[in-house]
Amino acid sequence: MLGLLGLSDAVIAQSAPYMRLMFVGQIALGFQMMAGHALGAAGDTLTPMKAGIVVRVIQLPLSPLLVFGLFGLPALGLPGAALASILAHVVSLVYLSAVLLRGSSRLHLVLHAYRPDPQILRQLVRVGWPASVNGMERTIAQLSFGFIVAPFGDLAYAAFTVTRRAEMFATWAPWGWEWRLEPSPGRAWGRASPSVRSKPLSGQLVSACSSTAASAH
Amino acid sequence: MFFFPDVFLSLFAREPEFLESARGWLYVMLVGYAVMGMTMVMAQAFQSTGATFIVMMVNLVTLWGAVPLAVVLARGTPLGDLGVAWAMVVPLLLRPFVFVPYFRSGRWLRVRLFASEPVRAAEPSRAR
Repeated sequence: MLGLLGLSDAVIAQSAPYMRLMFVGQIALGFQMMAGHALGAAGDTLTPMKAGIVVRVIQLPLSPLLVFGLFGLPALGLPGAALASILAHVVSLVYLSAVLLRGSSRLHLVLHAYRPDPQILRQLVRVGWPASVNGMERTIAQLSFGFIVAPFGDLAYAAFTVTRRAEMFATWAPWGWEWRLEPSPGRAWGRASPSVRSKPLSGQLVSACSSTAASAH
Repeated sequence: MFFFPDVFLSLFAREPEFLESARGWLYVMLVGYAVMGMTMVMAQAFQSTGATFIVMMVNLVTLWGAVPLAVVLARGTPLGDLGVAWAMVVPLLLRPFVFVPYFRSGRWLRVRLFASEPVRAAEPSRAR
């Protein structure tokens, strides 16, 4: 895949083992995101934040330990950073699962009550497939942009990659608003009129726009 | 990032050639970041009420329209790799032109999420 992007052999040699591990780690990350968004949609945005802090508290010190092989640990290089990320996300997932299974937040996961409900599954797929396609197309488009940039050399590709990071910085504020927003229309859905559902948005849109512009600039 | 780009970029690498190249990229992308927050929150609002299709379509059209534009700007103009950056900004600037009118129309509030949900009477949008 990296070869298709036209990256140099040196970059591929460094990146491939890291990416292999990260792809495996997507399983833990995916479940963690699902659990976090479920809690966020129920109105508990604090627990997902704590789960995020757990990830960083583990990942930040563990990454250099595994990358450089400090304190007797093996020096794994870049794959060490991926391993630290996976371990951190697994611990975070365990924490979120414990919250859900204990019912100490707004949701209580009761496994014995699970049963397949084809109607709900159909409806979820109907609503969810465009969102999934949306995520996929964004990833594929980013790869396409990378493919176009790669012939301009490693320096241009590094600039492209760094602006992807910059985007993450710039979207800190709206991410928060998104989390805040998630439960608003959902919780109002069953009991309020459309105009009531739209009310929480009015101020948030202004705040989101201005806070993103501020955090980016 | 606008006022002190090198402070941010130095977190990743400090070679002058890299800083020179990345600074240009960052300035171009910042144009798009200015409106990105609004579209992100609107898209999330639409999706959380079940209006996922319009978000997909808008992203599909704008993003995939930008890919050929990136090729043209990067290879057919003196912009070089910065042409790709400009092409990436275009979708960010175009989306509000669809999302804001859709938000104002209030149609996203009348999407039926589940079949068992009663159809709601249309109300004029009071979104401000």
